[in-house]
Amino acid sequence: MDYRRRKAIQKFLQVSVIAIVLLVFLFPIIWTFITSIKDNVTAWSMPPKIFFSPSISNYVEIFKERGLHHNIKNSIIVALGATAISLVLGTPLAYMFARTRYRFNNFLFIFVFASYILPPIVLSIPLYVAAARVGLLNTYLVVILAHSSFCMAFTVWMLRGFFEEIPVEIEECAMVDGCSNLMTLFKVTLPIATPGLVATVIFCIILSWNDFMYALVLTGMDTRTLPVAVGQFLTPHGMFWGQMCAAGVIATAPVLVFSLFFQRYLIRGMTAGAVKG
Amino acid sequence: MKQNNKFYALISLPGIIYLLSIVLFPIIFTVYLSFHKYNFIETPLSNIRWIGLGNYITIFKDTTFWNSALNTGIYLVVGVVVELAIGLGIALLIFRLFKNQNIVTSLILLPSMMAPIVIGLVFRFMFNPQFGVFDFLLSKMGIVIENSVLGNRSTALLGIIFADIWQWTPFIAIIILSGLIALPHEPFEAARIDGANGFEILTNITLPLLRPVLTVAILIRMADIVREFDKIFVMTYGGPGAASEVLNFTAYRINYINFDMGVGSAYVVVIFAIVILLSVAVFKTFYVNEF
Repeated sequence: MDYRRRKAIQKFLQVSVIAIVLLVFLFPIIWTFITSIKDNVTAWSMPPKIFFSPSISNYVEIFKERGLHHNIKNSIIVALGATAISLVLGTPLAYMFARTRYRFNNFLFIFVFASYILPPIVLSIPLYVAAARVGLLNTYLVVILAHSSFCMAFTVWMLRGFFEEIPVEIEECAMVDGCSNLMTLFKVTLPIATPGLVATVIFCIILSWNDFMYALVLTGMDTRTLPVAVGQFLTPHGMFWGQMCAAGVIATAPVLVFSLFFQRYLIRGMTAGAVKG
Repeated sequence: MKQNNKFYALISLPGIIYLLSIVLFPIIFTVYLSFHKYNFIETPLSNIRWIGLGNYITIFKDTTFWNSALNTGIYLVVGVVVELAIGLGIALLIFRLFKNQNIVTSLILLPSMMAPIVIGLVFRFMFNPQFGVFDFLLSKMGIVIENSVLGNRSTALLGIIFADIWQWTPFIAIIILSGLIALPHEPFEAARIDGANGFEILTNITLPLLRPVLTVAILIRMADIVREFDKIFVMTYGGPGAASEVLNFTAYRINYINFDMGVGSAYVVVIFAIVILLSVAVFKTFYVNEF
């Protein structure tokens, strides 16, 4: 009996520690949301007010006065473009990595990994110079190209893990039954890898959606993406904290919703090879 | 089998060519620029002048570079060590309680999914001296920092690292957790039969078995920290003075504010070299392939 009680206390302690940890990591998100539905007077009061009447004035202002919907549109165009390129060109490459053991595979994969961890500033200079020369600065295309570099590397990295989990025997069966290599890929392998593909697409979009540096350097008035617009709430004349938090919530909400559902695939894909499941 | 080789070459070729042309050739161009005197506004690209290692000598003689390098180093060491330590603790705790990923792991990972720019703004807001909640809490604890955390020379960088730790510790924790879940049971049972205590099991079995996962985690974090830009841009803009400027930020300033792209390219090449060297070093130290 005593043992059982001690176990129960231990369990209770562990659960409370987890609860506190969770609270610590979620607090700033909750705080941003709360600030975004306060009017300016309530937001500035210290100690913070716990009870207040929520208002959506900040959200109305960021769309009406600052035209945030244009930035959202730009972000979506860029994210979809970069993801499309990455998926079309990256999937076959990932498949090659998963199914072959060529001598240059290792070297090539290091190159892919290097593209993923490449600091944006490294690529931004040649892209900026080249785009300025051919008049592509401030267009969607140049940002899409920039984002496709890390999105594609990410796609190859993730999908290789998912393809490796699919037994080769299934493909061999299809080929014995008369499928060509290409048909096997499209009719057998890709359908099995659908969860991995969906997760990869989602996280590619998130990577592009969250990028600030490429967008800051390569976009102009018309093509400004959401993160750059959010950064501009910081002005020398003062901060619009309420509006800023509202824009932050808009930029964050879709990411949080999607990642809640797809995170387990992200971790699985990224650690594939390092984790023997 | 021959036909297979042709098939794989054919389908992967477009991707390889694309990646080479969008990553490798631009890098070569940056390296090329770094050996030239080139100001984007003043000199047309056709008029650039070869100056050999001139830009690199300029950099290494400049105290700004060494200040930024030191800040990058502090950021790297403090960030990675704290994130790994807390992350490992959280991972072990979650593993003990749930044995698997669940809603808790999904929720805790949310900060790592947010745009760094938003996190920077949120933390700047919370560190605000007039109505920020952190400054309020600090003053309640009797800690008074002159000019507030982000406005003080000695604490500005720590404030940024604090935001970084908040954002990325969960990510480290969940990566380690996924490693823990995949570990074999036999060594642990054997150790327990032999009478090892919890701490001995952790240091002698768990951590060595986790090596590959830890390597991945450290690699990703180090690369991310070296290229950190967004949070610094909105939290301090490198200030006060250059107190929180890291290499990446100095490179941005030189390239896109001064448009001194010759020196800027040299900066960028140095940053890229650091990322590569760090990655190789981590691989060599931690990634002992035992399979």
